[in-house]
Amino acid sequence: MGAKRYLGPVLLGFALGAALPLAALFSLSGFSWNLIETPTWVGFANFETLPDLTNSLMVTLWISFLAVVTQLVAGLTLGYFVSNWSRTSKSLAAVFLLPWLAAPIAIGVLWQWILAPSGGLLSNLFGIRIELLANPLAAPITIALISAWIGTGYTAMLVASGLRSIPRNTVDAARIDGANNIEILRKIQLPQIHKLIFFIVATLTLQAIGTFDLVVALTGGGPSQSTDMISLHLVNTALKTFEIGSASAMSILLMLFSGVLLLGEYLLYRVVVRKYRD
Amino acid sequence: MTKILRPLVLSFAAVLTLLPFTLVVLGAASSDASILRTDFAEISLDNFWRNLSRVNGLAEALLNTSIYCLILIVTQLGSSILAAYAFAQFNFKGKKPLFALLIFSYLVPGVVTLLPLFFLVTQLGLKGGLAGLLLPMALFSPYAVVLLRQRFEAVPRELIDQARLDGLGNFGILTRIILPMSKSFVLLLAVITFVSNWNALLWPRLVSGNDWPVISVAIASVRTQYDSHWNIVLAAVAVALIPALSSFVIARRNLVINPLEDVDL
Repeated sequence: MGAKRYLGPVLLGFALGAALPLAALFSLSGFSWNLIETPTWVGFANFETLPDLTNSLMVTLWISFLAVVTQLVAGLTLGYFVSNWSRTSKSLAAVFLLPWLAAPIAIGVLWQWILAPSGGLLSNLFGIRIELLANPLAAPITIALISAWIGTGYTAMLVASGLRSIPRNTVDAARIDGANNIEILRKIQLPQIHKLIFFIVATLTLQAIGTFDLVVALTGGGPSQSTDMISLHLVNTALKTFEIGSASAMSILLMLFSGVLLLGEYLLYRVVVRKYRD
Repeated sequence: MTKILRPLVLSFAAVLTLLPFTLVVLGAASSDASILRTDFAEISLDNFWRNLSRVNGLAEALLNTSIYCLILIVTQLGSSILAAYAFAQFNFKGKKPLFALLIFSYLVPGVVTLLPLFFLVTQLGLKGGLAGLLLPMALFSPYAVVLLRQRFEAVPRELIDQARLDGLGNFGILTRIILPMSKSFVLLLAVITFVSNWNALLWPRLVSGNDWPVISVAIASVRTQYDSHWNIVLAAVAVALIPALSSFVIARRNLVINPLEDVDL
């Protein structure tokens, strides 16, 4: 019977931090309002007159895709190698986590210095102008790689602990039967951690969609909007126009977008698992 | 094959991870002249202090961020511990849908609720200070509730039944049995709460901005203020990195374990 009392604080927190803003989001999307004048009901007009988000969504998809795939490959590799859990491996797993613990704005500023076209570390070192962040093709790739640099250690840690939770004797038995490391990885270890891999991909995707600080620090969305990721675009548009109805409509669209993306990943995962089994 | 690849890959990754951090230290200790050439010829602690003293409002930002983070550790973990206990040990009506709702709210990207919350805080006149920063998140951390619940459920039933026979009430069971047994896990969550809020930029930038600057906001404005004085910018970056990275050293043993797996019960 005590349950209610124990849940009280979180319920209040849930109301303030999630229920209220989500309810506000859906109701405000039906109004035209700039915080000052009285809101007027416009129905679905805000959705019909949505500003063009195609560029932002495509940029977000592209950067997220690159970042998630790089982190997954690098994280699986490092996680596999540290999963023997020797003293050195444990310390290294901790070292790999460092970029993930540092503030993205600090990391962004640091890499901006390394990559600055004039007076930057690499430019001075090689005596040429490095323009990775000023080039519309290279900038999104650079951002994706830096965000993969941040998250790889986290992925590796999850992979390593997933691999360690596989009973030792399964692996030992296969080894006695003459299986080599690659066969063990493909036939025993990967099939055992497929759920964990999906969990990793899903969380990394959510994180990638929410990328904000790194873009602010590195490019501010440029050059020519090639890194104008959806979170940044949304916040910038809302603060420029203060059109609350339109901002709410865009936020709802972003929620649908990430929902569809996660669902797509889940379906893909199901297909891969089924194929693997046959 | 693994024998050769393992050390090769791991040492490459270690260098790639640590090199940029080393560069922060070198850059932060450079003089104005040597940072322009990036030759690191004049590295000294004096330079570092001089660079640091040119960063405006750093002490204020550090103090603000510490206050903000400490409050959140207490309030978020407090509310999450209570809720996780209820979910782990009690059966009540609506338990499943309520928990599903928590997971759902964790899956909604933060930026979706960001704007309505910002407008709400603005309407309440709480923009520009600590109260507005804290309001939407002080009592709410679905991530912590979910992980703590798993942890609390791992405490053996018999132990709790025995304690109840010995006359402990619900609250006593939480504080005398379950919490002491989950010490390292709670410490881990405290570190995660601290680090993630210490590092946050988006929400503080919108809500408290430069009126009540936190460290991330301060870094962003130092960057715009000292455009090519990278030594000054890097000195600020170095200071911003210290608390997060060192809190990790404290909790290292607990961090490099599977947050999803059972821990030394």
